[in-house]
Amino acid sequence: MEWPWQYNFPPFFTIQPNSDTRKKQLEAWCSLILNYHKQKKSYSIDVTEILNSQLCHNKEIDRKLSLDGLYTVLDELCRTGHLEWKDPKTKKQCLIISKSMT
Amino acid sequence: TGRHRGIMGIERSIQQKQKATDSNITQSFQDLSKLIEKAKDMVALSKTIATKIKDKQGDITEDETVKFKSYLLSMGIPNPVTRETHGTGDKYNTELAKELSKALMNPLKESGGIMTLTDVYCRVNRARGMELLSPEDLINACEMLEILRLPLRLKTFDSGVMVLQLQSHDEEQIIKDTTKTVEEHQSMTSEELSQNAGISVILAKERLLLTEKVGGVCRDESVEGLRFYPNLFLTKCS
Repeated sequence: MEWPWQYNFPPFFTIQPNSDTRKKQLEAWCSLILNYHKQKKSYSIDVTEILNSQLCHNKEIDRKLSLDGLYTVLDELCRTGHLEWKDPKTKKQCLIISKSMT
Repeated sequence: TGRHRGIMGIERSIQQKQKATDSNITQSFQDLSKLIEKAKDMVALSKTIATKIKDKQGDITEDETVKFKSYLLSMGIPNPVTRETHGTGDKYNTELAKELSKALMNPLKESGGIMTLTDVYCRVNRARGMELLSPEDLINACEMLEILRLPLRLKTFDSGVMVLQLQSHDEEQIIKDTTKTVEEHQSMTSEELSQNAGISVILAKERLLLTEKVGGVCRDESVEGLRFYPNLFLTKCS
């Protein structure tokens, strides 16, 4: 897995309050998650599972995406139509809808 | 009767002293209650005057309302609602604002053109010694600065922190400088910037937040604290 430069940039793991900055940050997160699962050839996401995986936790720089942060990213993916909740009420698991990232 | 000697004498003199203090105390309390009664009348009177002014309605500063305000101030009655609609501030505040701008020009220049209101409060009252300002006095006077076109201005940050700035204080330049300083150090906390720029931690934090607001820096929140980084999200992508 080749990580994007953002993955080693500590602010990547804090959801940014500035809306312009946050937009860029979420774009990067979305493509990271899609690429990650594309390489693993897995299309279902378990929230707690990926929260503790390497994807959301960069041990080298000791930064971890928070649960709220992860939901912000997943909701963004949902909004752009790349993801669907299996259980929209509890939001524990979801499916990636394969289509090319624009 | 001659002077009593011995224990009797001592006891008697103690008793006399106690009587004197007793009467002193009762007298002062009597005076105080009289004073309070008078003040009550004044308050009642000022309230009826306030409602009378209100009925008239008007946006021109009249001499009468100005006078009335100074009465209210001297009695220590805050009555902002009725006061605000009648005249913009008052004589006392206007004069105080002028005094402040004179006294604070140099200290402000020395501290880089910006000072928190609490620092201002300390400096002014420490210099005065007597006839101190109340926090409200200071804020009211500072609110007049802009209207009187004095070289200082009051600014409230998003966080609610109030500061006095020189009118010439250039915010854009500050943002540029802050962005540059953070880039040079790769990342910075408010404490680090405060040491680097020689300003208080509160102001350093406000500078960073201001720079973040326009996209100059971005934040990293972790157990180690809040750090600010150059905004690579915006600069590296484009």
